Amino acid sequence: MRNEMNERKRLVRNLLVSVILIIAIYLGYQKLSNYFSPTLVIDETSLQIESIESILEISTVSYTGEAVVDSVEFYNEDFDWTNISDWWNVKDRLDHPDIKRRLTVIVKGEAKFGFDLKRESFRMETEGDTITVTIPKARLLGIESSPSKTEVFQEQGNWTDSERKQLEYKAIEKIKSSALNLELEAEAEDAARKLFSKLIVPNKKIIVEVN
Amino acid sequence: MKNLYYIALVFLLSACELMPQSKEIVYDIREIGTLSTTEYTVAKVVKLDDEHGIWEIWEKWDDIRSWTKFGDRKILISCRAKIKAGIDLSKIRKEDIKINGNSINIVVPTAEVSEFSMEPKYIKTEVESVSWFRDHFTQKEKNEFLKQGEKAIREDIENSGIYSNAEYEAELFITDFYKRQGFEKVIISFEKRNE
Repeated sequence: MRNEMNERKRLVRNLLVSVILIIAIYLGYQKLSNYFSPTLVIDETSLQIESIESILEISTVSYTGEAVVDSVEFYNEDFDWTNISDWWNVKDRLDHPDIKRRLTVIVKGEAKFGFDLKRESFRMETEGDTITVTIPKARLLGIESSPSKTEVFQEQGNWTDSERKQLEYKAIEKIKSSALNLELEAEAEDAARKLFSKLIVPNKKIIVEVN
Repeated sequence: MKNLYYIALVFLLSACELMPQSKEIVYDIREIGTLSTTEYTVAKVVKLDDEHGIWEIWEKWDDIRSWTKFGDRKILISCRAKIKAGIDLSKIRKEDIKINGNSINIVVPTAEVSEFSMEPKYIKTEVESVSWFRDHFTQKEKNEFLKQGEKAIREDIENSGIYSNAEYEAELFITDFYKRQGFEKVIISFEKRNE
């Protein structure tokens, strides 16, 4: 009877040690995998030119901004020791007890203000020694953003491409609204005046008008 | 006692967590003078095959990093970039413009990429295949692959003729610009390109 009890105790102890060992190996594997992650290099593929378009844009003011956007999802319930699915995420729950998913994206973007001379009117009239240049009103020509200017700063849990894109759009919108709030159009027009004055020959008088 | 340790651990971990705020930092506002004359729309497939079968591990047995992964992961991402090229008019100096009666001779800088944009809406994961033992591609990894894709596009575009196109269009604009000022002959030459 006593031997049987001892056998059972030993069995339970061995089982417990095995479970702890499996968990330790799993966590160790996860840590090792992350630590030793080799740099993955993409394969070479060809570049396909889809279209070539003639444009005529003069950019005179550039605004560079950086936006940080964050999305967090919290656990609704506490850790359930009897739930296997909770044990499956034990590493994440130990690292971040309250946060189920988190994604933080930092986007750097460049907004350019200037003139689209192809779409809007641009006139130049010479009368004697005076040259009158009529330029359209300056506007935001576009926002430059690309993966090299985007950083996934923090990522916890699984995130889909569309969720990441939503955060990126939000960041780009923030940069755009900040650039527009600064009302850089007037500065862009002043910069255009300086630029044209520099390009027009010295013995002529220049008048730059904004239409 | 055990619970106390757990609570202490929770506090310790929460204290270590980075908490970025949703904010925006103004970096720089500067005057430029870029004349963009050509816009290319290009497409590229970003392809990655992260194979770690027994054979790959055997082949790289001396690289300890390969031991920690087992199984394959493959990904195909299609992306599109819009690239504008033109010349920097602000680089033209007074001494670059020479006038001789009704003729003007102007040296302008060589064309360069004035804008490079890879918008999120033009990036799409077409294929993603991950074997049982491997983790799915994270958004961080995908962004790293896209960065490499962007670098490859920037290198490939150099040989696409974008600069000669941009210079040709810029020449037309500058010629017209000086003819409207009354010059009969406009000679434009481009600075030597740094190879």
